[in-house]
Amino acid sequence: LLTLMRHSPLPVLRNIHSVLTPTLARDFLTLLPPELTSIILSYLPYSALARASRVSKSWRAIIDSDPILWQELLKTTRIWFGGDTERAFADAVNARRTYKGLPAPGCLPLPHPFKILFKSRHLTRTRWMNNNNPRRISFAAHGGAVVTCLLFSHNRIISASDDHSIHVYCPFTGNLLQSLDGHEGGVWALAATKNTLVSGSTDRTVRIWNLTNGKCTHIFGGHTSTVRCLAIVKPEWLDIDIEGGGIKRERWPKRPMVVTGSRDHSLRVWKLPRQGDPEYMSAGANDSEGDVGDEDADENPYHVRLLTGHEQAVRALAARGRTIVSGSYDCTVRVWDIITGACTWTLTGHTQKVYSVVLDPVRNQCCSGSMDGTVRIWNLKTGQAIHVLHGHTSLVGLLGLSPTHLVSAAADSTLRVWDPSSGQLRHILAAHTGAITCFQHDEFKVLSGSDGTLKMWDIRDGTVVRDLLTGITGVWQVVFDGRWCVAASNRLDMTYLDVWDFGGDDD
Amino acid sequence: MVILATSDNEQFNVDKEVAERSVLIKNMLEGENPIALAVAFVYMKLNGSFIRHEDVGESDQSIPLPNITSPVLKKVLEYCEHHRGEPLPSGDTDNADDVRKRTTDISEWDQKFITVDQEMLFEIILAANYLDIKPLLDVGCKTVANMIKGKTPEEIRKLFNIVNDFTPEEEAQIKKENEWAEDR
Repeated sequence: LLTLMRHSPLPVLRNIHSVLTPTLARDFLTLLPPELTSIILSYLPYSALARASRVSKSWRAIIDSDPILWQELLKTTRIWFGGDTERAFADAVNARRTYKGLPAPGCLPLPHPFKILFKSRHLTRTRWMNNNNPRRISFAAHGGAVVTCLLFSHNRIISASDDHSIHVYCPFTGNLLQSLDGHEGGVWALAATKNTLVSGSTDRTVRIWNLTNGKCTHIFGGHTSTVRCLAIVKPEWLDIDIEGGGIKRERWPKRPMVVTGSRDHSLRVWKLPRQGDPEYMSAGANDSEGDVGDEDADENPYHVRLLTGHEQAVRALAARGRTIVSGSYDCTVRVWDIITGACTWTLTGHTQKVYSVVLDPVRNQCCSGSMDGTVRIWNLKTGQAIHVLHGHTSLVGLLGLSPTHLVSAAADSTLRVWDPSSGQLRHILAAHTGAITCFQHDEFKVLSGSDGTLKMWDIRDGTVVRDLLTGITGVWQVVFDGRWCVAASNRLDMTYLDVWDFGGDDD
Repeated sequence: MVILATSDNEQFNVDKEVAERSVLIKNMLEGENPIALAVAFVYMKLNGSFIRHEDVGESDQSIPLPNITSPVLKKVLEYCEHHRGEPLPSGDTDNADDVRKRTTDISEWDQKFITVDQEMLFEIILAANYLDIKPLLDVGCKTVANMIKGKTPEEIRKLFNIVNDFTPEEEAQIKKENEWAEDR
């Protein structure tokens, strides 16, 4: 055979080669035992995996349905956050698929949620951290008034102002879509869920707005002073300890609720009206005779209960499941059971007014920031302070929590990044020159505003990534969500909204 | 010396030090691992040589390797010969796994050694897995990974002789689905 081949002309050899090569080829991924296929795939970067999943149905099945593969990739690229986040994401994706009946019969099987999670986190990180030139629009808003609250929700920018108004803007064009008018005082608290907006104001009312048509559907009276903070509480599954040991799962609250905190020292719990529920306008809301402060909230079918105990204004609150945490100027933090209305704990230790609270259901703890310069982490089961975080030299006005980072922002011009489990200080973000006026963070970045600049920081090493705004008078608010970032700032005595789009062209 | 017998009834006389690159053979010779011994005994029965396991490791007895052919074993022994005396990977794989995942680099000699046709590569991977020669298994798996890396789906299909069984609609759908991962 060899002699024959030596004497064969090149075209014949080529022909033989083209016949022989495919017979020597092996479809390694499908023919090797799965544990060896896994080793091979573990050497591939995500870009090669994405391409390889397009080779054939069996390659796609092997690559896209392997949770371990994508879990390892999330871990090695350091975007596995831990806690409950990954499982919760997978559960949500699977629930949505079941609900929608996906995959449809005859269609390709769907990728494991971890692949989708990898894509989402990978893009979020790379687009924000590496994109030096995102699309940006700027437009004037609220004249020269303070923007007190800023939300980004369901592709809407919602801003509330000291000028009594609430505006809804389109993030793509900057067009004013709706002006929600009615409050008779500055609006200082805001929360949204899908098409429903809840606002609280110095006019002492809580108002519910339908965002599909811009109509105010409900006005709740009862608070006798400024409504300073509020939260929407959605039903969620909770593990409840049962007497004699064991755990049962229960869904609380039974329907979406609103919790409001006021300068009148109290909190109130309300049912969040659903679309189509009867409208309700508290007595005195729309005429000059009555006074909403005199409203008997018991006549309001949406009013659930009044929570009293604080001896000063309620400045901040957080709520999840059946737990409410409130921080007050009376220097205490109180923990309430939303269902019974009982005050479970009065957490004492702060020596000055409490300005900020966050709730950490995963660790069953809450954190509070105070004018005394400390951040305290409290155990919700025992009511004891677990950690007292020292370092800030003045008022800790803002707190934020993500799965593995607790961030505090203070009037001492710094932000501090802490480990919420151990209470250890990870980084001090010190590049601002004035009190921190607003910030938001996630597992990758911190965006913070202070006099004259809006900065983006890398939360993992505490360095400045870049300045998004410079040379302005002040930043009122900043929010980000997915690809979008919105900031409300003041320049030359006028208020502007800036919108950055960190998304790619394809989504 | 150790005698290794392949499925096609060829016998290889191998230095103990070389044969022991295989953790399977090492454990059989040392008789430390009861599982390996039991496994070996079963293989021997399958192979028709009814010897007591106490005899394993006696230099005049051959160790049957019923699912390895002589060309593949020859190649594997070439690898073991070259790497004789090197420290075996430790049982603690946590750290090793980390390092392993970051790189698909292969040393120059290994690179040259593993430049074989796909059939042989396939058999080497299986043999390395069966004989428990982790560094060789890694070289094989890295080589396949390197063959996949940087290629388009069509190039991968051509290389491995795989039929595209997607409909044009499905192909368009999954292309779109994976566009985020393309380098831009």
